[in-house]
Order: sequence, then C-alpha cells, then structure tokens
Amino acid sequence: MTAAVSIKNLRVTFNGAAVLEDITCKTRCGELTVIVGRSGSGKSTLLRAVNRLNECFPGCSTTGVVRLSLHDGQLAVYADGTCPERLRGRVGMVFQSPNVLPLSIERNMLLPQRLVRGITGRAAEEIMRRMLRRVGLFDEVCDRMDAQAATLSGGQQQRLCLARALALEPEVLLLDEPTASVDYQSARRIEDLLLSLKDELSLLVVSHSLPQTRRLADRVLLIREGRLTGQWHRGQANADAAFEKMLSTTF
Amino acid sequence: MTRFHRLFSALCWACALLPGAVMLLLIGFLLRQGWGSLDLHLLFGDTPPLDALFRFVPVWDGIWPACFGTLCVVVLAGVISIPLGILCGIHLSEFAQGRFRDILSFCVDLLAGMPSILMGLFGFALILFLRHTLLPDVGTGLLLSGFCLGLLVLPYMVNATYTSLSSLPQDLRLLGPSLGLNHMQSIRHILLPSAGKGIVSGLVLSLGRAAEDTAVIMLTGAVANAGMPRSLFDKYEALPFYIYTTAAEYQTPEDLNRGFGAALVLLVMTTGLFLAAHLLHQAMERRWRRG
Repeated sequence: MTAAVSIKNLRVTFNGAAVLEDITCKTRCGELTVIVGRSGSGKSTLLRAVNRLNECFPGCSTTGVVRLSLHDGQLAVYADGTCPERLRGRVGMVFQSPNVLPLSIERNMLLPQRLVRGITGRAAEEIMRRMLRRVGLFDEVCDRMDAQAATLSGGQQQRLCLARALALEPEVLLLDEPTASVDYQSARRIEDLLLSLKDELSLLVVSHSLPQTRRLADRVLLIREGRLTGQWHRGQANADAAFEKMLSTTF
Repeated sequence: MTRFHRLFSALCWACALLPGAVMLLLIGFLLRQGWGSLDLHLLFGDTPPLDALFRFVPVWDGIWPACFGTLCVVVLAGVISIPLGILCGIHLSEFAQGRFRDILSFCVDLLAGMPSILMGLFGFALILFLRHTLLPDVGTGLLLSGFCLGLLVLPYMVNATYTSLSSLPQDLRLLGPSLGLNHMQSIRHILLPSAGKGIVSGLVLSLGRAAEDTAVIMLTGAVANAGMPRSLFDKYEALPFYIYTTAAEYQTPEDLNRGFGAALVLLVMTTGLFLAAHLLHQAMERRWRRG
C-alpha cells in the first residue's frame, strides 16, 4: 500500500528553539492516523508541518523531508517549487475550535470555493449542498443559509468547518483535536464522519482522548517532548496489548 | 465589598459618566448661544439659498462658502490620508518585519505627535520652496491645505488600521492560509473586512480632526472673505477659521452668537460625515457578509 504521508528527519524550530526533532514516520492511504501526546509535546506542530502552516508563525524554520502521495503523483512539501497555497488547497485542515468565517453559512461554504478553486454559481452551490449533507448539517441549516455561521452551535460550527474543508476536495485532511470543544453527541457524529471518510482521504488527527483514539485509529504516532517515541498499527502482532502499553503513559 | 472597592467603583462610574456629561454640557452651551442665530440668513446672508446652491451666486454675508470650503478640504484630506493610511497600516501589520517595522512605527508615532501649527508651517515652507524652484506661480490654496491636513490625520488612519489588523485573533489569521488562500486573498477577503469596524473608527477620528483644525489651514490657504473656491489652487473660506476670526474680532454680541451658530453648523457637518462613514461601513459589511 502507498504511503500517504511520508516524513523523514523532520525538525521544526521557532526562533531557534526546537519543537520537533528527528521525526521519521509514514502513514498509509486508506488509514486514519491519530497523533497523541501530552500538551506541548509538538502534536499540532507536526500536523501543521504537513501543510506548511507553521510558516505563518514568525521565526519558524523547518528542515527534513515531507512527501505526500496524491492522485497525480508524489509531492515534496518542502521542495523549492512547491507553492504553499496550492499545497494547502489539497491538504485541508480543521482546527480545535470551530473556526467559522464571520459570514453567513452559505458564504462560509462558497467563498473558499471561489477563491481557491475558482468555482462559482450553481456548481459551487451543488458542492455546498453535497458537503453539508455529507456532514449531516444540510437539514439543520437549509432554511437559514443566510444566517450568520456564528449563530450555529459549537458542534454544528465544527461540522460546517469540516464541510467547508471537504468542499475544496482535499486529498489529505488534517484535524487538530476536532472534537475538543464540542459536546459528546457532536463528537460521536464527527468521529463517525471521519471513519466514513478514511477510504477517500488520508486523515491525520490529533487527539487527547484515549477512547477516541481507540475507536478511530488505524495507526498511532506518539509524540513526547518533540520526538516520535512510539508507533502503533492496528495490523501488528498483539495489537491490543501493544496499544494499551504504548498509551498507558500518555493518557 | 471593602470601603476601598466601593470608592474605586464609584470613581470608575464617575469617570465613565464624565465624557457624556461634558458632551451634553458642550452641546447645550452651543445650542443656547447659537440657536437664535441659526437660520438661512446665517448660511446664505441676503442671497436666495437656491441661487447660492445651484446657480453659484456669490454669498457675501453668510457662512455657506465656509461650509463648502470645509467640506472640500476634508474630502481632499480624506482622499489623501484614507488610502495611504490603510495601505501603510496593512504594510505595518502584514508585511513589515523586525527593525524596519520598529522604525516605521516610530515615524508614524512621531507624525501623530506633531503639533498642527508645525504642519501648517511645513505647508507654508513647501509652497515657498516650490515658488522659488519648480512652480513660480503657485500659491497657498485648497490643495495645499488638503495635502497638509491629509498628512496631519494620516497617523490616525495608519494606527487604526494597524491596531485593528494586528489585534485579530490568531485563529482567524490562520484560517485563510489553511484554506489555501494566498496572503493577499486572506487580507482582502478575511482580515480587512474583519478589521473594518476599527478602521472606520480611525476614519471618523481622522475626518473629525481634519474638519476642526484651524492652525494648518490658516497658514496654507484659508482666508476670511474668499467666496466659493473656483479651483483646487484657489484660496477658500473654512468654518473653523470663521469661528476663530469671529471669536477673536467680534464687535457685537450678535457677531459672537453667529460664531456659535457656525460652530453648531460645523458640529452638524462632522456628525453628517461620521454618519456617512458609518453607513458606508454598514453597506460594505452587508455586502461582505452576503456576497
């Protein structure tokens, strides 16, 4: 099976201080990879290294190799010719807190499509409806598409963010603790959605929850103080015992 | 609650009420002094108002030319300072880095602290320089006043834009790049509209400051009896200058009351400008939110 994301000797520093050191790992297509670790261990930085979002922070320096397996071939994320904006158009991201634009629900879905993919009019609206249905939000918002996105509940906002990311048809989806700020029911809905997406997309999810990691993960990357200190795969020998052993010190 | 806390709380309340009370007192005083003289005669003198407005018949004994002059000079100052200030604020917040940003920021602060009389002297010196070098026929007038007032209020626009943009939450700043928007798209479609309210506050402050300044215009082209300006290079009348000369040289109590009447008109004009800025912002925000 092809490597969806391949990371080799990744080192990320902010103003000279190393946050990630010597990370080497691979995730596979059709798998859902969960990155776990304590607060401040560098999980989100690792996630942001995949779409070069760390570069939006001052003083960031990244060395090493990150390769993505996309439909049209391999993409070296940090190669000179790689345009960060085009890369991020193919690598979607959902943040910990629902990060809706201060616009209407409809505009939240249509604006990125117009700006990033140049899709407007009926085609964009069709994609919007399809993705809102996909995340189970369409029936809840179809009669108030002009309402401000901020008026939705936390769980609905997070699903809107997911629909917005999916509308750009990414090939890799990064999720930074996507259920951390939503209630239990919403969290389960998002988890179910992620499980349904993993056959179409490569998913990398940061999680702070042991039950969630157990439910979702095909592969687990354990980060401790900026280093990759453990890996687990559902297919390995004695997977359950290895899972408990690896994560017992983390959660 | 301890006695200290009660005292502190009462002091905060009093301080919060103070600006409102001063404002009411000021408007009440102006109304009392100027209301009696507030009529069409104050604006147009003996000239029929419609003739003055639409046929440009000269007004000799009214403040209409001063109103028009003030409006022109404020618009000119806005045309110069608003785009420059917004672009400079965007540069400071989004592009400038390190030492260069510190130096640029210091220069803006220095400009903000410059007394307006110095800006007037700068304009006067500039016109003398131009007369002796490139443009021997040039003189003080509307354009020079607008330019100097534009420079005077430029730091308000720069700081308002810079502060509004740089205080946006980190999440919102990351949103554009995370969706694949480039930096310019992110600024144009996410950051600037989100910072719109703060920028409009700076705009209101700038226009108000430009409308009330006297020191700059008295050195750069405003005179007591110029009539309506015929070009950007003409001398002109302005309301703050009229109020200043009336207060300094009035002969009778009626003259002084006309000055108060003119102050009320200036207040109405600036309120109108603020309202226009507010409505413009609302219209832009509506357009942004609905697409």
